[in-house]
Amino acid sequence: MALLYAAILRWVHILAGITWIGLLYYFNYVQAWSFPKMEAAARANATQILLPRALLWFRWAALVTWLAGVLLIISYAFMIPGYMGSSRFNLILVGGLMGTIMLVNVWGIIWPNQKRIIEATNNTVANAVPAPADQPKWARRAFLASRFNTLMSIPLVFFMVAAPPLLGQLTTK
Amino acid sequence: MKNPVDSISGTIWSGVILTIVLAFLSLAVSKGYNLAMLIVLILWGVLFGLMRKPTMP
Repeated sequence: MALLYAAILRWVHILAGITWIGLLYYFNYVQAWSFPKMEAAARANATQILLPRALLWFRWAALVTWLAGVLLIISYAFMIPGYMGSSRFNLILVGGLMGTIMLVNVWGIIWPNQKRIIEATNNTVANAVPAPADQPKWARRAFLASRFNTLMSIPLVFFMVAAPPLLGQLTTK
Repeated sequence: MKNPVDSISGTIWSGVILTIVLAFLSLAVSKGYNLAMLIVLILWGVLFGLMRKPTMP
């Protein structure tokens, strides 16, 4: 029963992680390139319709990934003797630290700034008022945090997925 | 100094280089992961500092 519980947690962790990082790569590899090339009206339309939906899945997937990961580590600590302090645990912990920083970026920087941009765009379209002077600043902050998360996702996946079997074999104690 | 994360290729290369550095580090200090994590944090601070430079793309 404990194994089934751990398997389900791992399954949820990976499904949510794919959703999170998949949308992160969409934002960085597709949207950040496309938006500046789109006509203003089309960009505003995408900001009002596409962006809120993408950000909804993005931020909640990030939280579910992190929570499932934390629960998984706690479960393994109870289920597997000597898990805490093992090289596998340490590698997961390094990846988990990166994931925690990324989660804070999502909820603390990316989402609050994107929310301001969506609200400002709604206001601009509905009331035909100019965009706020601070809007480029909000966009820049969200962009940097998003790019930082893209950068960090590369070592994160290495430490979470590739390193445990690789380094586990090289440093088997 | 141009911000490496302003381009996709700069972002990916930075991520790959960071991965290689941390992978070697984790091998070198196989029993000292606390040190490795401390260095991750320092690297994060340096990178974050770099990225806060107001270089508009």
